[in-house]
Amino acid sequence: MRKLLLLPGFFLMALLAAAQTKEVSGTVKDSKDGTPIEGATIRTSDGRNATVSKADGSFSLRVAESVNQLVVSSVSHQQLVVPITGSVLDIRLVPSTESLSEVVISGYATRTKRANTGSVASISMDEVKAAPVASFDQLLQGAAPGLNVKNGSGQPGRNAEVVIRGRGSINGSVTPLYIVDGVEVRPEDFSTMNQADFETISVLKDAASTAIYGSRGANGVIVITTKKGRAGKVRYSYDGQFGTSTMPDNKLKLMNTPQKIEFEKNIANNPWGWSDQQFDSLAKINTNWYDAVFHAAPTQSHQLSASGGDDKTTFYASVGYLDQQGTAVNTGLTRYTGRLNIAHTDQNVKIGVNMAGGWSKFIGTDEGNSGVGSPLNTVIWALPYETPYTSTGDYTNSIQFPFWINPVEELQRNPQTSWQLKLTGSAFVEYKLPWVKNLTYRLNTGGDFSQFELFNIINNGTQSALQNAAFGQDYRGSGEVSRGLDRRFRYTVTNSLTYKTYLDAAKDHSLTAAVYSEFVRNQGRSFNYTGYGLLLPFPNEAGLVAGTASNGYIPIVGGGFPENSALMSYFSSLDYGFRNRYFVTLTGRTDGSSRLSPENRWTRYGSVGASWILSDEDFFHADFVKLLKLKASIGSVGNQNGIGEFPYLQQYGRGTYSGGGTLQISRLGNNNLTWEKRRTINLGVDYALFNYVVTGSIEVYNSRTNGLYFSPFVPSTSGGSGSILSNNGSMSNKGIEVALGVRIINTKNFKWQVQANYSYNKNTILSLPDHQDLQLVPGGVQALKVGKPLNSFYLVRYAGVDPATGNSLYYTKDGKTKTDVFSTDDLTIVGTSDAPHNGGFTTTFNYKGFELQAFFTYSFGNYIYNNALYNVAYGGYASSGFWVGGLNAWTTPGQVTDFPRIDENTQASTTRFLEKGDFWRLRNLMLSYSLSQAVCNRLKIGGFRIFVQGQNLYSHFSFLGFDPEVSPIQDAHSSSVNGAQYPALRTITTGVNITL
Amino acid sequence: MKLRYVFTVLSLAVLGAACNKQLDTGPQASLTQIKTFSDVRNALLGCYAGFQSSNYYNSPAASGSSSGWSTIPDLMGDDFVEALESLGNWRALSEMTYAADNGQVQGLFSQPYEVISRANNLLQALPAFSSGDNAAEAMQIKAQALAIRAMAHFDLMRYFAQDFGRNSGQLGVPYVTYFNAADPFKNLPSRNSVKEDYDSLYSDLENSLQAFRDAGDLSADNTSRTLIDSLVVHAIRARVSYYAAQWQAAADDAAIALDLRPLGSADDYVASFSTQTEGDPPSEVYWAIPSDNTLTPGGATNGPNPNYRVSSATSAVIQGLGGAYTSSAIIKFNQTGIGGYPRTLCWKYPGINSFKVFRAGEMILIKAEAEAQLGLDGDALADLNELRSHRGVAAGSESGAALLTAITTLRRVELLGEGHRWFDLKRTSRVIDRSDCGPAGGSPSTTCTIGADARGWILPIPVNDVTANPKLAQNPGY
Repeated sequence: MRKLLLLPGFFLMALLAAAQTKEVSGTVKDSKDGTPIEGATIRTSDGRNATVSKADGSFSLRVAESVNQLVVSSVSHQQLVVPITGSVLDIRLVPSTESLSEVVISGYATRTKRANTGSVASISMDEVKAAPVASFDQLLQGAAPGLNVKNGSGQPGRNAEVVIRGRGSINGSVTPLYIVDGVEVRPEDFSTMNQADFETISVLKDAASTAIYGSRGANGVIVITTKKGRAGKVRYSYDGQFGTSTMPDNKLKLMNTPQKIEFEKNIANNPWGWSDQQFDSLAKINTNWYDAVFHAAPTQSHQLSASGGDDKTTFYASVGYLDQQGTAVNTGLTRYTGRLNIAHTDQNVKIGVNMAGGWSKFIGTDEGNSGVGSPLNTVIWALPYETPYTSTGDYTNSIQFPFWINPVEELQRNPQTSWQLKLTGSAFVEYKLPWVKNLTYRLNTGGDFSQFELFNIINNGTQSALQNAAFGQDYRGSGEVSRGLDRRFRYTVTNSLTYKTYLDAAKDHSLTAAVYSEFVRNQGRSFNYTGYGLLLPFPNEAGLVAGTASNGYIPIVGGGFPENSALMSYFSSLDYGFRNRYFVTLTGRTDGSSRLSPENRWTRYGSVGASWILSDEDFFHADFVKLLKLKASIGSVGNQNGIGEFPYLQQYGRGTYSGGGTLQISRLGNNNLTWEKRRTINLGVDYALFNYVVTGSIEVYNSRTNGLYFSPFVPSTSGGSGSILSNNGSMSNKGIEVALGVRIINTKNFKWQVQANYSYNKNTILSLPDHQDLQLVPGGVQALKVGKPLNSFYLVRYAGVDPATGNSLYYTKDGKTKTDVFSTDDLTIVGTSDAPHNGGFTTTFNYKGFELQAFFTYSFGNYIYNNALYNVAYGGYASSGFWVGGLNAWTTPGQVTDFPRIDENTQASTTRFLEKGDFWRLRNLMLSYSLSQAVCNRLKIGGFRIFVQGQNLYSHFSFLGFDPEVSPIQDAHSSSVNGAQYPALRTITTGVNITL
Repeated sequence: MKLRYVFTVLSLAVLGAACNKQLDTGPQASLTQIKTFSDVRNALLGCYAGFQSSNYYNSPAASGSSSGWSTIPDLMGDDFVEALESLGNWRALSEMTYAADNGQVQGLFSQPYEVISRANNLLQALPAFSSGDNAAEAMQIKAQALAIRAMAHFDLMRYFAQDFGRNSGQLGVPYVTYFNAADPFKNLPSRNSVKEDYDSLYSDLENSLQAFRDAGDLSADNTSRTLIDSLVVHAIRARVSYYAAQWQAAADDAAIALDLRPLGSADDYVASFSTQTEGDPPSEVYWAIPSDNTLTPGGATNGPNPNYRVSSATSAVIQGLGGAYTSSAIIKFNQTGIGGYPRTLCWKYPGINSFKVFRAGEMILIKAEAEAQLGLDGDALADLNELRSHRGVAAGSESGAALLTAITTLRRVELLGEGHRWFDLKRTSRVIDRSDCGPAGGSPSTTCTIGADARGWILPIPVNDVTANPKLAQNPGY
């Protein structure tokens, strides 16, 4: 790639000119951290001589005496013109994140940032890769404007929820498309991929950028490329870190023993009927159940990589290991990954293969439910006057059994284990057709295989087994083993022809035209079984006895086809540039999806984008403005993700009745089902001021989804719980995104720069089909209402407690009158769970080799329904572990308090349990020291860096819980904390990066 | 240069080839159309399977779903008490404080219509099989689908209808006789009057019986008593007439049912609950919802920590009667529990079990009460004493009001835990007086008395349904 592009004639001239030449040498380094840049091209301003820098950044070049300037360029850095001021030059290049020559990778095509017309955010992998999280998408939070990322769970390996520019669909998917080296990857699979192998991340946000992905890109696209080999001496690197994770505080404070006894005696009418004598003995115990269930957990990761090659063949190889223990006992993730990327160029042909594999083992626990068997619930509902262990070291039985089981036993003895095998590979062939100049054919094929095995055990004799028997399922009383396998394979075949040329000799008119065809096929298969009667002493299938009619140990088998879809696409793009100053991009695409009926499965859409480098115009005279670029785009994309595999077909599901097979309506058909379409208008400005001291961008967008996928509530009389998917209705997302970077101090030894971004998104439901202009969200506390944002809460407003009666008071519909009668007539829209304001802020200080970086994220303007609070404030549960707020419960007439009388029937659908979700947090704080190049050279190593960092060290919020970030693990709409919250980890690690 | 041709062919072939066929995938684990007669048979069992829902006859204990026609009516009435062990999950139901957004009420409204839509879909598919080899079986399937449809509508009426008068003009429930999978928002019904509901019920049940007469009754294929045959249709109609106070009709249908399968002995009565051999005579079970190794209708009433216990007043009545009713196989007295409250536990459905929807015991009580209402005290007393003798309970010689009281008391005891009590109260006095309530009575339910004017006697139409179908009028007070 970085071959010398010299014509033979120049060689001759260079030789002839040798007599009047001078030797120039020096080093090329990164202006930011001083690391040497390998492979930078150094050429003379007359274009006659050139060379490439070595691994240590050094170069030497013989140039004509008359030449007084060198042009230095590198893919990763901004081009620089250097005057030849001596025979040894120290050349510093500005990283290309601040440069217009940076390549924007938008999946199928790459463009320079200068020519790009769409909205694309690039995330520097260097900034985020060292953070010790197992799932890459967690790192995206606050990293670029327009991304709303919620991590929500601290369970090692859990993926985050990423929403780009607001939710565009109600029942369709809002998950962006992830593309790694041209191959789609499910976000769930990032826990088995090594993010240290990633090199570039581009977030495509507007239609001009995503239209090329067609229906797959409706929710935005995150394009990841992995590291490529670099020609030259093989470079070996080691990256490793060790650390500890701890649990953050829970703001949902629970009663300790003195408080609970006081509460039971004087407020809750002694629900267990304890005698005074019993109370006295209980008072001697005061257990903090968190201490028994959570602990400080070690985490470590190691990676070895090698990169090298010659001018024809390059390679990158890595192996990685991650071991992250969870803060809940006996949970964690162990991961092994490997990667090999090879590229080879031979005359007109370029071929390459990228292969990666990963193997993970998770031990996890239930999250996001309010089940009475989940340890993360029972730890909260535990009684402080009971203990986890008996005096003989056994797990204590509780008076609350079977509605409560010992969480320590459940975690220790009944682990939920799973293993994932993940293999991705892609191969490409690129062929410059020799008989048509500038025409390139490319075939890219990729496969993504994922196999997930789940193994759950409930050991005989554990409280969980006894609980199942107590609930009437005798056959489960002796333990059970279940195992499941979920296997998925996706392949993608993309063919393309690209024609790239200048239309005139002066090279004023540039043109790139490409046509593509693509076929994506998803297939999946799963099975599972559960066997009962774990009577033998083996914690696996060998422990099971055969089922008979009398013992009832009849295994249950299941399985299905989680994926079975195909997508066929034809598309083309046209890029035109004039004088490297005016740019136009056109895209058109047609998609056919197996998920829609044959009559409705094909659709077409396209986009047009334009940009103008205003600052390059002759009439532009504001010298402090180094760059001013205007851009605009409009386009539409379709969506057919997240709607299941055959949503248009009426279907009959299977079952058993009286030992015979049953067929019952499981889905109502809709032959008219078609594409959901999202149209986006994007306007943007990129700017650089004061010699690139201030850089940034501002974008505004307006997107509208039509034909909204929507599962309307089916009237019971028309088919009870049978669901149907329709597309009717529309929704808009409007927003603004601002990014700003300032190099406040930029001296040789001391540097200080800040980067900030902010996004605002306003979502509005514009219309819904017949009679559905207001619809309760099933099983929830939210409603869809025309004119209001998606995920709006629909609750009765709580108005405090009547001092006379102790009853809860509610505002009636008018918002003024108070009543103690809860009525669904008074339900009101009271705010949304999707935070309209999001962003991040980074500040970095460099002093010589030291760097201190703090990364903050923030989000505000949303509400969260706290079901976990409801479960410890519900009057009927006064006998369980209870919220300290219950101590203020009303007991006597005239008492002014905010907690109603305990024997009132607690209403759930009120704002009493609705809380603000605003937060800001110090997501990452890192202090590092890099050895200077001079020292490294003396030690004969490429580089050495040592760091210490902390994740989630501080969070500021008022929400009564562990964490105000709510992910779909808690609730499909990320709107409420259902229960069983696995707190986000607070992790401190220390590590090294060594390059040889 | 060979490469040149390979690439040319490849690129043209793959770029240009339209692979529409590649997009023709189809579901592999679900059916999209009822095509064969075997599908019809499975679809009939699919209608029945709707009764196994935890909203209907199943009771999965801790999940808090409504189990509306198995044990909840006893809890909502005064025979069961919500125990401290329940965590208060059924408070809204046991205190009758539900509002229109209550999820348990939504389940009670949706599930019968789910069954009804399956039956209607099957009835619409049947005409294609009305001739040929399977014509007779198709007719029997039609008979069952009609009875299932009637049964589910009747169960809806029991909760949501504004009263039970045979000719009442008050609002009942929409009686739905069609299914449109393609457009469920078309032709949305309004609520029929109670009279119209009864008219449709009687019509469906008569047509069901006629179909059985035409095609022959189920016999050999219903040995496990899990399907509806003409015996069960008569039993359904007896219960319907009983609610409508059509005493003669109730007595007649009950008599036909009892003729086909009479009362069993005291031992048979006990055995019919503790085993799953209800199909074998002399079992007195008419129709049972099979367990299929999952159904736990007594999930909330038995086991070491049941959610509901028998109220102390009812427990005393049972102990006073003695006989089979106090057999330790179906009831357990003086069990210890949380808070030291002595408990009586209904043990009719331990563990995995079928649920008995109709039994001879209910029929003879219907017959006796109908006869008493008709002034035939002698016949009524004879039937009452017949039941008593089959339960090992001493005979009596009541007449007049005392006879009616004796019948209704025995009805409470005979049908304890089988899903009748709240409906019986709703039909009659509409007064609940609980002795075991609040923390002092060992219950999280703090409502001790509920009067006849409480809005909760008629359940609200779920708010989602009212919103989606504005023609559905809401019940008073919601």
